[in-house]
Amino acid sequence: MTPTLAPAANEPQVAPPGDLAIWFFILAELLAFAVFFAAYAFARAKNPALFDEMQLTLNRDAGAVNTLLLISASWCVARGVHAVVANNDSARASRWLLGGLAGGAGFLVVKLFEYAHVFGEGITLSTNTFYMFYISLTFFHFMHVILGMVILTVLWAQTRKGLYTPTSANGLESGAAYWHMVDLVWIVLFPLVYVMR
Amino acid sequence: MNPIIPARKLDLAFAILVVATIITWLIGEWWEGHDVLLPVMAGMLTLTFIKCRFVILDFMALRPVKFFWRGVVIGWVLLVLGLITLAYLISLP
Repeated sequence: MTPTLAPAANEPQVAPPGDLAIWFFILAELLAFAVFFAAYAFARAKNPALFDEMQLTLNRDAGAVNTLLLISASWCVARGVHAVVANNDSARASRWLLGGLAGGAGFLVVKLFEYAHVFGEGITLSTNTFYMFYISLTFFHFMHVILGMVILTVLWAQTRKGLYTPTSANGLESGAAYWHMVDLVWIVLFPLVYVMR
Repeated sequence: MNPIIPARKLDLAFAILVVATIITWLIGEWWEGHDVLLPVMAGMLTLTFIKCRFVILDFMALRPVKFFWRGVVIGWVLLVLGLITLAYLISLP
């Protein structure tokens, strides 16, 4: 692990926190989601009436709760990284990461209830264009949350063992950056799919 | 040494994100019964941009990082929101 270079006063850091490779991975993921979002928006432009009508069948409250859960999880993870990097406090950091895991788990539970309702109504990918996008886009994101939870679990276990220090926290920062990317994508997805009319 | 965002700043970002999310949800509730399009859309997209910016600069800790990295990720947000806006304008009657 290569520690990030110390900046001179008022001079910006050269590299982002974590490994450079995770940032290339994050940019690739963001590109994939950008294509998905653009495809949704332009498909909606062809038939806004259908998308507006189908949007009414979604549970916007669940979408908002999930946004709050992911934001809370991201905040917990950011505080966890801060506890290690600023205070070298692994015990506190592991509790923050546990909070992040709880937020992610809450997101998955709410989303599963939403899917149970949608599939219970007999809706599938081929029901219409809106649901083709809704199911594929949100499920693609759902899978990223699951991967993020796996990463957070590893980070939590490593942090509990005190393996991260202020000078050696690249693994923690890399995993945290991935988790924030998952949050960032949902922050765009929620208004696009659940709110925009 | 790693880039450090002060804890107070992280807490402030979290509080703003929560408030912005509740406002976005309220916009959705209100929008359902009204036929106002562009001003609401502009407000919603602005809120989304603000939320993304806080996640990128504070949670992702890109604030103290060289502009290139902030620019790339914030550029992604602008690109996506720009494409959504373009598609929305096309869909208007």
